[in-house]
Amino acid sequence: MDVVISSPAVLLLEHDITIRYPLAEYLRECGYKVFEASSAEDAGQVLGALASGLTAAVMNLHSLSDANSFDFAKRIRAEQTTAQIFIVGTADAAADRVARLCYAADPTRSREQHKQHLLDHLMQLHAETLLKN
Amino acid sequence: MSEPDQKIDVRDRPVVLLVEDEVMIRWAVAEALRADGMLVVEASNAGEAIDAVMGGIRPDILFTDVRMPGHLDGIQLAAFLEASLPGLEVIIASAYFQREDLKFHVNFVSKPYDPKNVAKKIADALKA
Repeated sequence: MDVVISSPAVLLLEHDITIRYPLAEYLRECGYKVFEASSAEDAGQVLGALASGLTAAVMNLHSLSDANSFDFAKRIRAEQTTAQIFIVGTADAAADRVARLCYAADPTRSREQHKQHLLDHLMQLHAETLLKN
Repeated sequence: MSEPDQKIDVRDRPVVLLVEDEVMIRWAVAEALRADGMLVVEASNAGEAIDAVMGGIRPDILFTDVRMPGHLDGIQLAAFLEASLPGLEVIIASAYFQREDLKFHVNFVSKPYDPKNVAKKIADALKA
């Protein structure tokens, strides 16, 4: 599969689905196409499928597992020359980078506001889904 | 860019738990479902799907592949989640089985499939 994307796109590598899902959903609300990867292998498949056009990669260091994060970042830099690369170690840091990307898409809201909004969404998603039952 | 002020109201949008280990197939199906207004939770295996449910996600429908890495296959996952979430709709997808191979009633899709057809089948299952 060779995917050509017209919208800004983000590769999100996070092994914890309860963190990845709200981060990805917020990025989509900000207008990004999001490729969700739960492992370095998944992320490699996404990179292999994308012709170009990745805006950013947000990757949890711990999700890379055995993959060398520096080598992986070099691969992204080589294949997606304009992509911003964020390697993070915590969910809070991931939320911060996602807020930065959403600020780039919507500068009417500050980065701090985006981050707070994202954290509110995270809480809301969990609360709403719990309320459903 | 869309306006991020709009809150995600999961009560008004069907929640699909999509379980597929092939990341680009999963992405293509998820995008087709999102285009139809569904909220899609993407899981790469049964363990992640269970983590999502344990983390508070309450899907209306499970769409799962059968053969995946990990301790549970898609049929075992469906049985586990159906027991945990009464009323959960389930659709099984497989390249290895055909509907007639299954000795019990289940919504079934043969692989390879067209993501748009999957989206229609899921929408139909949710209306039923």
